[in-house]
Amino acid sequence: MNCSEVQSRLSEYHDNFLDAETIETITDHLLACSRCRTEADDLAQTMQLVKVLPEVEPPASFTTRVMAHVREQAAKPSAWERLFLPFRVKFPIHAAAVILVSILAVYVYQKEPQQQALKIAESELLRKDQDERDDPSTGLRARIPAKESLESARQNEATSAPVIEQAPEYAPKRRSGEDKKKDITTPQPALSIPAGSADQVRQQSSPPAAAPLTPREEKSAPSGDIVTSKNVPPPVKEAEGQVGGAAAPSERTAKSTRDVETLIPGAPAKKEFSKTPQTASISEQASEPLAAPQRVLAPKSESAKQSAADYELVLRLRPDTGEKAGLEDRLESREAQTEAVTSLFREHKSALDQARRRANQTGQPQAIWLSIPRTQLEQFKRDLAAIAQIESASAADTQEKDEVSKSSDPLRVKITVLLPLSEPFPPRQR
Amino acid sequence: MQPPSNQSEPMVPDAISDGECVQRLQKGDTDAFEVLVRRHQKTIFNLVYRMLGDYDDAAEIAQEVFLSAYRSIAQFRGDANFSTWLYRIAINHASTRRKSLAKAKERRVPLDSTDPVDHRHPNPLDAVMQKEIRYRVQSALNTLDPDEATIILLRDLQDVPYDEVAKMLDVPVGTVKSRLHRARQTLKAKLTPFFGERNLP
Repeated sequence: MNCSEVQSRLSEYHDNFLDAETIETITDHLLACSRCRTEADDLAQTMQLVKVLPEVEPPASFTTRVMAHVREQAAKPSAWERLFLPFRVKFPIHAAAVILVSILAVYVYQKEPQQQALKIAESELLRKDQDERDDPSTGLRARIPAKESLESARQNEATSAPVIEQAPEYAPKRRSGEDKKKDITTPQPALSIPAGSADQVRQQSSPPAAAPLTPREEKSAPSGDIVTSKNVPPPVKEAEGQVGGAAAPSERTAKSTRDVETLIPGAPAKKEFSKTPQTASISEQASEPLAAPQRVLAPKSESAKQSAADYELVLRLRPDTGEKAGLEDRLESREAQTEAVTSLFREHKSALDQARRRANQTGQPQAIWLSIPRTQLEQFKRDLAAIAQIESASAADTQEKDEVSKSSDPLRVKITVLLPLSEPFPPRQR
Repeated sequence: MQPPSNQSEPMVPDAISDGECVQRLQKGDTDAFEVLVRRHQKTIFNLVYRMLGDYDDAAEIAQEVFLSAYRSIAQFRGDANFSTWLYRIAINHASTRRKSLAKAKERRVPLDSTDPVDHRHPNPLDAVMQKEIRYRVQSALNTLDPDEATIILLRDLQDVPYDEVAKMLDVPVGTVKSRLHRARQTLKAKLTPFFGERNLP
């Protein structure tokens, strides 16, 4: 085996992923070849450097948080079911949507050909007029048919006028996306009613008719991604704010097919109103799990809250040695030892203990505000050091900083209680 | 140890296997998932942590990994190892995040507050050197291609066997070998200037 062959297999060599014979061959080569030996040593060292990277502990509340989300999802299957309908129900809805759009397209655009026909007829008439002047004999007779045809054309238009005039009911659909959204949002106050009073809703007439279409269509839009939750929020939020009751998927199928029929011009789209409230209930329920905050695990999530504190302390609790070692226990043992604990500290220890308990329960840092007389601040800090590690202590960065020592008012002290870093020494095996 | 399948076992973490947990979970027993989380959280967290170089990001992504696993548990078939399947989800999530982080900002190197002190070197000077070394290694890892970093971490950090790595990355074993070798060489080139001739413990 030559050097380049050996070097190309050094990784496997170090991983013991070679047969005995090859290992022996390479070992012999390495003993003899210093260049390859250096390569092998460097490679082994690189592997070792990665190997000895220390193992870290996940946040103490990791499992709790994960399970909280899991249980939340487990408890609301109906919301997801409503959103991600089983396929057998979805296809009819897709079909309905497609038919809807095509019907609308036909009716809306029907107007144009008719108008064009009208114009053509008129221009022909004008031309014939011209011809007439040139040729008097054909005039009158020619005119009448032309006129008739024009009138009949007009009559045709008239009969289809009801159709076209009702088209504006659906015309809002043709507007840009923004307008569509406005359509949804503006009738919302009108639609924010219990599903039971369908009569009132019916009286709302045309604009709301457009609104139910879009949520439904948009709902069917993300149908392709059943699994990805991230596609859900935008269309669902469109229908937010509307109130309504629940509906079974089968009911929905029936309604959707009925919807197609009722949208044929001439019939007001009554039955759709009951559907929108359903969409709304889904969106309300669904938007909660979807809005679940992502960064809940960040240990330093206690962010830029406006604190009206004169002084801020950040405490890192020491890890519990016993199960429920409370502040009181520590306090008593300390008292026995040092007798340096002041009455002021005793006064506040229950607040501190409460914060500690809350922090352990929620896994989040807790903030408490205490009032400490200026002169006792240092002693208070010494007392705190007995039960927790003071990570930082700072006077608030305000104008009053200079005047702090002058005023005789007690200090407003903000104390942030942090959970202990779990098992810092030693951490390795559990 | 496999408990008899007809009896319902108590949720003692050590007694119940991954496969059993998944079966229960697929039947609707949410508590079974907690066993899985507790069992795998450390390894998954550490893999993600070393791939991202940041504790907070790791916490966020690791949580997403488990939630993603929960949501798609119905698609997990018993033919693969649950651990392998979970690793695959973790690799996907962490790689995606790593790529977007690389674009967004310079990735931080983990600071010493979360890295525990190795008690084999109680000497303070050694401790300092140790931190320096870890800093350098993680920095170098951060600059590798995501695929290279992933494969090194799987093999060298977590001792995943070659064939399992192949399943996780959905490539043949031969590819694992060559990719691993190249990745280690790249890392070696980055680290040798600092560690050239020294003999590390």
